[in-house]
Amino acid sequence: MISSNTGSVADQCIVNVEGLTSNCQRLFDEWESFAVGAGVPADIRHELKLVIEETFVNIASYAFDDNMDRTVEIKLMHHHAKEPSDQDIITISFLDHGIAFDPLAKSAPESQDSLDQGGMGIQLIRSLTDQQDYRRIDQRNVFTLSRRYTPR
Amino acid sequence: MSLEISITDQPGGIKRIAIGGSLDTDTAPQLQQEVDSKITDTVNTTIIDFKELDYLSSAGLRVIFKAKKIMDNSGGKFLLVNLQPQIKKVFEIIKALDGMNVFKDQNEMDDYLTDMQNKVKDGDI
Repeated sequence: MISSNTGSVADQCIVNVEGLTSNCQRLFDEWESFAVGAGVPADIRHELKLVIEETFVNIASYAFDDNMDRTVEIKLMHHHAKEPSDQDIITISFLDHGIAFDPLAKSAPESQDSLDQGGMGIQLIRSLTDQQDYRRIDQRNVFTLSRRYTPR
Repeated sequence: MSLEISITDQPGGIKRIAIGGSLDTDTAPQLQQEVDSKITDTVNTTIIDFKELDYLSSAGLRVIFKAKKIMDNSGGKFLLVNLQPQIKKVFEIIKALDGMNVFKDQNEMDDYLTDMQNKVKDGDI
């Protein structure tokens, strides 16, 4: 969390969603409402919506066995630039109690022939965010993505 | 957001699939179903028209590539037209535009199709 004495302003929102691919729309609605409220421009909202879908679907597809708690906690944070010359930063974290699963470990497809075999999601995530970080903390997967942009 | 799919047959074995709205994890199965039932080896050319498509994720891309593979395997043509900037960017990130027939608009694609038809008539192909 951003402490108040840094002088920066942060919007934050936590969403808990069951890790099922059918819950994408719910997540989109939460993201849109958060991002519009935080004043994130439409093109950045669009690109990060894609990042959220790719990450969430990846987790929902690979991080859980049957009978596991499939709750995925998604933390959305928007740090406003302190100075006019600074950039705004959006941080999106995905936390779950699933099997240790590093989405970044999945390699990109090697050739066009294998494009329909998957692996495109992580390429999109890497391209549309500035930082990606996976950690296993206290039996939880913690996957954090951040994206900087110049406020308009 | 939902996906709209409109499929039209054009002379010369051309199947045109116009998609609108959102092609994502939720909606990709709808397009997959249409591809499975409509893109058969009697189709010479498949056109995907992205004009009304606002959003595309990897789940949607997979369906597009499956359709392309069907056409590649049967020796048919696979054309993409009217990619909006945010859709084009997704294709560019995964470096999928090389080796694809992509047309910026209807006119450019019509010119190409006319040219192909003339070549067939002239016996060049």
